[in-house]
Amino acid sequence: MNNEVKKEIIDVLKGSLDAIKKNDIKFLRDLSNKIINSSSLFQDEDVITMAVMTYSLSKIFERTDYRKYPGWKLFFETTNSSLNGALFSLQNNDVTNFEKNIKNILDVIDKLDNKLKKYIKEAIHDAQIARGSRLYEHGLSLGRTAELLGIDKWELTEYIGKTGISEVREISSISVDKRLKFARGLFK
Amino acid sequence: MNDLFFDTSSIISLATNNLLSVLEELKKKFKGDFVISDAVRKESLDNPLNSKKYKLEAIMISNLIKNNIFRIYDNVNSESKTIKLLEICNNIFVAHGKSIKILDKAEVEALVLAHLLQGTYIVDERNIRLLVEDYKKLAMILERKLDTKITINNQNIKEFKSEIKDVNIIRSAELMTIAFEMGLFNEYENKYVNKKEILDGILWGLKLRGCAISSEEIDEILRIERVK
Repeated sequence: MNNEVKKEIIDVLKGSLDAIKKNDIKFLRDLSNKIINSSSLFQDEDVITMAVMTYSLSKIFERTDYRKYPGWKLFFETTNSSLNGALFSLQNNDVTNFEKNIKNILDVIDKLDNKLKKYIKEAIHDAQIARGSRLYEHGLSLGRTAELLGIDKWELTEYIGKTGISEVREISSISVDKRLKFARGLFK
Repeated sequence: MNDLFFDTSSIISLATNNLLSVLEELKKKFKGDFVISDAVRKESLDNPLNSKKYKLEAIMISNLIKNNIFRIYDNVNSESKTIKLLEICNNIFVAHGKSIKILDKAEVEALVLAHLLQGTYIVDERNIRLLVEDYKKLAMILERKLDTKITINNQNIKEFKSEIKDVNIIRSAELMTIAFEMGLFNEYENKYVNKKEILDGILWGLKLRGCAISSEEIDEILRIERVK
């Protein structure tokens, strides 16, 4: 992990812990948006995981009704302690333990009661697609984005279609008139 | 040769809009083949067959392969060129001294096939089209969205241009517009729906399910087609 990436992840971890403590959902989402630039640039697995993780947490924490489920306390405490552990590990250049701590958050989901497990898994899946659309927006191709996030091209394509990403002025390379004339010629 | 080489992105847009049957009709009016690479087959058939969400679309695609509407090209001769070109493509745009990987193998493979077999590339995905037709626009997107200076490796762009010469590209939107011109959607015209609405509906359906076309371009197509 290069120093620039490490510094950015440490900032995000500190910010996430602070946001969770203050129940500041918007700040969690802002952190994810901030780290998406580095995700596109460095395409580092840990940065991408953090972008998805913070976005997922913002979605999970905004649903206050999740807190009524019996497994919530376990999820909340594991998330807090694992983020703290990940921060401590990275500050001490221990990338292996950093990754192990982040994995703990994902592993605990399987120990939750069925409903909460289902909701949180869905939130993480949706976050992967949503973050994927941001990588695409930043200039990565559909295939490269799907490859980096380990997500399905079909789902990503449908999600991207519903955003305004293809409305940017650079999307048009040659005129539709020229392209149509060429296409017509193919069938003559 | 006059074959059409489909990328996964276009197959997805067509399949999710239930427009695959139009390909069957188009094929009857086309002198060449509709070709997909092995990697595109995996992405458009094998992967969705293993999911619940897009299984039905995959079944429809399998039928097109069975009926020889799609021909699978699995000649390994394109492998080395694909790897070489992927390496070049992913080292064209540089930020902070680091190359930005912008494409994956399947996208490049279909382009390589279209080039080697002198066909037309059907792709709805934005990046590869821009790279072939106007790479500076892709650099502009990267620079604006990443908010950082992007430098272009001129040697690699030159090499890319020399490796991929004269590949023509169309999107599913243009392909379906041609189908519309041929009257393949005439059966949908009725007292509730006129021709303009049919074409508008087709193009917006494709856009909203992944075809990288702007609303301005859709308006332009409607203007060109002069539909009422």
